[in-house]
Amino acid sequence: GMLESATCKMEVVLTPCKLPPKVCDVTRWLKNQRTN
Amino acid sequence: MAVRDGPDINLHQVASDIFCEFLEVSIHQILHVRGLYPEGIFERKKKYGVPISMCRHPELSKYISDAVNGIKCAVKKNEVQKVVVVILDSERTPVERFVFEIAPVQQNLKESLQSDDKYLLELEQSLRAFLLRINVSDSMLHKVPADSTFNILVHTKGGSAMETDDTHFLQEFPWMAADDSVCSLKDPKMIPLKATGAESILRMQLYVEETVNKSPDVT
Repeated sequence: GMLESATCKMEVVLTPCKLPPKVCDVTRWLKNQRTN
Repeated sequence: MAVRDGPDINLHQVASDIFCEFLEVSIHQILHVRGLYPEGIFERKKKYGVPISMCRHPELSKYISDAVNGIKCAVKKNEVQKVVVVILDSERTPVERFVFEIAPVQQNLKESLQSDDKYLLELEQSLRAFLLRINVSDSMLHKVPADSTFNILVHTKGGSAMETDDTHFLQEFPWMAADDSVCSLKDPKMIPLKATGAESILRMQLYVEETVNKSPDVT
Protein backbone atom coordinates (compact mmCIF):
# COMPACT_ATOMS: atom_id res chain seq x y z
CA GLY A 1 0.00 0.00 0.00
CA MET A 2 0.94 3.65 0.36
CA LEU A 3 3.01 3.03 3.46
CA GLU A 4 4.96 0.32 1.70
CA SER A 5 5.81 2.49 -1.30
CA ALA A 6 6.74 5.40 0.97
CA THR A 7 9.12 3.10 2.84
CA CYS A 8 10.65 1.89 -0.41
CA LYS A 9 11.45 5.45 -1.38
CA MET A 10 13.23 6.29 1.86
CA GLU A 11 16.77 7.51 1.37
CA VAL A 12 19.39 4.81 1.80
CA VAL A 13 23.09 5.67 1.77
CA LEU A 14 25.20 2.92 0.25
CA THR A 15 28.95 2.46 0.16
CA PRO A 16 31.23 -0.23 -1.29
CA CYS A 17 32.03 -3.04 1.16
CA LYS A 18 35.63 -2.94 -0.07
CA LEU A 19 37.91 -0.14 1.04
CA PRO A 20 40.14 1.65 -1.46
CA PRO A 21 43.85 0.71 -1.58
CA LYS A 22 45.88 2.08 1.33
CA VAL A 23 48.26 4.96 0.69
CA CYS A 24 51.23 2.92 2.03
CA ASP A 25 50.52 0.10 -0.45
CA VAL A 26 50.19 2.55 -3.34
CA THR A 27 53.43 4.27 -2.29
CA ARG A 28 55.21 0.91 -2.18
CA TRP A 29 53.91 0.10 -5.67
CA LEU A 30 55.23 3.42 -6.93
CA LYS A 31 58.70 2.78 -5.45
CA ASN A 32 58.77 -0.65 -7.11
CA GLN A 33 57.80 0.91 -10.43
CA ARG A 34 60.69 3.36 -10.16
CA THR A 35 63.29 0.72 -9.26
CA ASN A 36 62.24 -1.70 -12.03
CA MET B 1 30.46 12.23 -26.42
CA ALA B 2 28.69 10.32 -29.24
CA VAL B 3 25.09 9.69 -28.30
CA ARG B 4 23.05 9.45 -31.49
CA ASP B 5 22.26 5.83 -32.17
CA GLY B 6 18.95 6.00 -33.99
CA PRO B 7 15.66 7.83 -33.99
CA ASP B 8 14.46 6.40 -30.67
CA ILE B 9 17.13 7.76 -28.39
CA ASN B 10 16.89 6.84 -24.71
CA LEU B 11 17.58 10.17 -23.08
CA HIS B 12 17.81 8.73 -19.60
CA GLN B 13 20.37 6.17 -20.75
CA VAL B 14 22.38 8.93 -22.42
CA ALA B 15 22.33 11.12 -19.32
CA SER B 16 23.30 8.17 -17.10
CA ASP B 17 26.25 7.25 -19.31
CA ILE B 18 27.45 10.85 -19.50
CA PHE B 19 27.13 11.32 -15.74
CA CYS B 20 29.02 8.13 -14.90
CA GLU B 21 31.81 8.86 -17.38
CA PHE B 22 32.15 12.33 -15.86
CA LEU B 23 31.95 10.96 -12.30
CA GLU B 24 34.83 8.53 -12.90
CA VAL B 25 37.07 11.29 -14.24
CA SER B 26 36.06 13.57 -11.35
CA ILE B 27 36.95 11.00 -8.68
CA HIS B 28 40.45 10.62 -10.15
CA GLN B 29 40.73 14.39 -10.27
CA ILE B 30 39.58 14.89 -6.66
CA LEU B 31 42.09 12.31 -5.38
CA HIS B 32 44.83 14.12 -7.25
CA VAL B 33 43.86 17.68 -6.35
CA ARG B 34 43.41 16.86 -2.66
CA GLY B 35 46.72 14.97 -2.53
CA LEU B 36 45.43 11.74 -1.03
CA TYR B 37 47.93 9.61 -2.95
CA PRO B 38 51.50 10.29 -4.18
CA GLU B 39 51.73 12.59 -7.20
CA GLY B 40 53.72 9.94 -9.09
CA ILE B 41 50.77 7.58 -9.52
CA PHE B 42 48.91 10.10 -11.68
CA GLU B 43 49.39 10.76 -15.37
CA ARG B 44 48.24 13.75 -17.39
CA LYS B 45 45.43 13.23 -19.89
CA LYS B 46 42.75 15.37 -21.51
CA LYS B 47 38.98 15.13 -21.12
CA TYR B 48 36.40 17.54 -22.53
CA GLY B 49 39.43 19.59 -23.68
CA VAL B 50 40.66 20.03 -20.10
CA PRO B 51 43.97 18.65 -18.73
CA ILE B 52 43.20 16.09 -16.04
CA SER B 53 45.15 13.67 -13.86
CA MET B 54 44.22 10.00 -14.03
CA CYS B 55 45.50 7.43 -11.59
CA ARG B 56 47.67 4.68 -13.15
CA HIS B 57 47.75 2.42 -10.08
CA PRO B 58 45.89 -0.69 -11.34
CA GLU B 59 44.09 -1.56 -8.10
CA LEU B 60 42.97 1.99 -7.34
CA SER B 61 41.83 2.56 -10.95
CA LYS B 62 39.84 -0.68 -10.83
CA TYR B 63 38.32 0.28 -7.48
CA ILE B 64 37.06 3.59 -8.94
CA SER B 65 35.85 1.93 -12.12
CA ASP B 66 34.01 -0.84 -10.22
CA ALA B 67 32.38 1.72 -7.91
CA VAL B 68 31.18 3.81 -10.86
CA ASN B 69 29.84 0.71 -12.62
CA GLY B 70 27.81 -0.08 -9.51
CA ILE B 71 26.54 3.49 -9.33
CA LYS B 72 25.54 3.32 -12.99
CA CYS B 73 23.06 0.52 -12.18
CA ALA B 74 21.30 2.82 -9.71
CA VAL B 75 21.51 5.96 -11.89
CA LYS B 76 19.83 4.08 -14.76
CA LYS B 77 16.94 3.26 -12.41
CA ASN B 78 16.64 6.96 -11.58
CA GLU B 79 17.22 6.19 -7.91
CA VAL B 80 20.36 8.22 -7.24
CA GLN B 81 20.04 11.60 -5.60
CA LYS B 82 23.64 12.25 -4.64
CA VAL B 83 27.06 10.71 -5.05
CA VAL B 84 29.55 11.83 -2.43
CA VAL B 85 33.32 11.46 -2.36
CA VAL B 86 34.05 11.77 1.34
CA ILE B 87 37.57 12.31 2.66
CA LEU B 88 38.27 10.79 6.07
CA ASP B 89 41.16 11.52 8.40
CA SER B 90 43.34 8.80 9.99
CA GLU B 91 40.66 8.18 12.63
CA ARG B 92 38.04 7.75 9.88
CA THR B 93 36.32 11.00 10.77
CA PRO B 94 34.90 12.75 7.69
CA VAL B 95 36.63 16.07 7.03
CA GLU B 96 35.57 16.90 3.49
CA ARG B 97 32.77 15.91 1.08
CA PHE B 98 32.53 16.49 -2.67
CA VAL B 99 28.81 16.20 -3.37
CA PHE B 100 27.42 15.49 -6.86
CA GLU B 101 23.68 16.10 -6.71
CA ILE B 102 21.66 15.00 -9.73
CA ALA B 103 18.05 15.59 -10.77
CA PRO B 104 15.85 13.30 -12.88
CA VAL B 105 16.13 13.68 -16.64
CA GLN B 106 13.62 16.04 -18.25
CA GLN B 107 11.77 14.00 -20.83
CA ASN B 108 10.44 17.12 -22.58
CA LEU B 109 13.93 17.74 -23.94
CA LYS B 110 13.84 14.47 -25.83
CA GLU B 111 12.62 15.83 -29.19
CA SER B 112 14.98 18.76 -29.06
CA LEU B 113 17.92 16.48 -28.40
CA GLN B 114 17.16 14.41 -31.46
CA SER B 115 17.06 17.44 -33.71
CA ASP B 116 19.64 19.70 -32.16
CA ASP B 117 23.20 19.19 -30.92
CA LYS B 118 22.93 22.38 -28.89
CA TYR B 119 22.14 20.53 -25.66
CA LEU B 120 25.10 18.20 -25.99
CA LEU B 121 27.55 20.98 -26.82
CA GLU B 122 26.29 22.98 -23.85
CA LEU B 123 26.61 19.94 -21.61
CA GLU B 124 30.19 19.31 -22.74
CA GLN B 125 31.04 22.95 -21.98
CA SER B 126 29.40 22.57 -18.62
CA LEU B 127 31.35 19.41 -17.74
CA ARG B 128 34.54 21.16 -18.78
CA ALA B 129 33.70 23.93 -16.31
CA PHE B 130 32.96 21.37 -13.57
CA LEU B 131 36.42 19.81 -14.03
CA LEU B 132 38.09 23.21 -13.99
CA ARG B 133 36.30 24.04 -10.75
CA ILE B 134 37.50 20.76 -9.20
CA ASN B 135 41.03 21.69 -10.35
CA VAL B 136 40.93 24.98 -8.47
CA SER B 137 38.99 23.74 -5.44
CA ASP B 138 42.32 23.18 -3.70
CA SER B 139 42.74 26.93 -3.31
CA MET B 140 39.39 27.22 -1.49
CA LEU B 141 39.93 24.40 0.98
CA HIS B 142 42.18 23.69 3.93
CA LYS B 143 44.82 21.03 3.42
CA VAL B 144 43.63 17.47 4.16
CA PRO B 145 45.23 15.88 7.24
CA ALA B 146 48.08 13.37 6.75
CA ASP B 147 47.07 9.74 6.20
CA SER B 148 43.60 10.66 4.97
CA THR B 149 41.63 8.20 2.90
CA PHE B 150 38.34 8.32 0.99
CA ASN B 151 34.97 6.63 0.68
CA ILE B 152 32.28 6.77 -1.96
CA LEU B 153 28.70 7.21 -0.77
CA VAL B 154 25.57 6.90 -2.90
CA HIS B 155 22.35 8.46 -1.61
CA THR B 156 19.55 6.45 -3.19
CA LYS B 157 15.77 6.59 -3.06
CA GLY B 158 15.44 2.87 -2.43
CA GLY B 159 17.45 0.01 -1.00
CA SER B 160 17.15 -2.00 -4.22
CA ALA B 161 19.13 0.58 -6.18
CA MET B 162 22.24 -1.56 -6.63
CA GLU B 163 20.37 -4.65 -7.75
CA THR B 164 21.28 -5.72 -11.24
CA ASP B 165 21.06 -8.73 -13.52
CA ASP B 166 24.83 -8.96 -13.31
CA THR B 167 24.94 -10.68 -9.93
CA HIS B 168 28.53 -11.78 -10.54
CA PHE B 169 29.57 -8.12 -10.67
CA LEU B 170 27.83 -7.36 -7.36
CA GLN B 171 29.42 -10.41 -5.76
CA GLU B 172 32.82 -9.11 -6.83
CA PHE B 173 32.13 -5.55 -5.70
CA PRO B 174 29.30 -5.60 -3.13
CA TRP B 175 27.67 -2.56 -1.50
CA MET B 176 26.27 -2.06 1.98
CA ALA B 177 24.46 0.60 3.99
CA ALA B 178 26.95 3.26 5.05
CA ASP B 179 27.66 3.89 8.69
CA ASP B 180 26.03 7.10 9.96
CA SER B 181 29.41 8.30 11.22
CA VAL B 182 30.75 8.79 7.67
CA CYS B 183 27.60 10.37 6.25
CA SER B 184 27.85 13.87 7.68
CA LEU B 185 30.40 16.44 8.74
CA LYS B 186 30.75 18.23 12.02
CA ASP B 187 30.29 22.01 11.58
CA PRO B 188 30.36 21.90 7.77
CA LYS B 189 31.19 24.90 5.63
CA MET B 190 29.67 24.62 2.16
CA ILE B 191 31.42 25.89 -0.98
CA PRO B 192 29.33 25.73 -4.19
CA LEU B 193 31.49 24.78 -7.15
CA LYS B 194 29.25 24.51 -10.23
CA ALA B 195 25.75 23.71 -11.47
CA THR B 196 24.44 22.88 -14.94
CA GLY B 197 21.71 25.04 -16.48
CA ALA B 198 18.02 24.30 -15.98
CA GLU B 199 17.75 23.28 -19.66
CA SER B 200 20.55 20.73 -19.50
CA ILE B 201 19.80 17.05 -20.19
CA LEU B 202 21.90 16.33 -17.11
CA ARG B 203 20.87 18.62 -14.28
CA MET B 204 23.56 18.42 -11.66
CA GLN B 205 25.25 20.53 -9.06
CA LEU B 206 28.57 20.06 -7.36
CA TYR B 207 29.55 21.49 -4.03
CA VAL B 208 32.16 20.73 -1.46
CA GLU B 209 31.74 20.72 2.30
CA GLU B 210 34.58 20.82 4.75
CA THR B 211 34.62 20.66 8.48
CA VAL B 212 35.73 23.94 10.01
CA ASN B 213 38.26 22.41 12.39
CA LYS B 214 39.99 20.20 9.83
CA SER B 215 43.46 21.70 10.12
CA PRO B 216 43.25 25.21 11.54
CA ASP B 217 46.97 25.84 11.24
CA VAL B 218 46.98 25.55 7.44
CA THR B 219 45.09 27.78 5.01
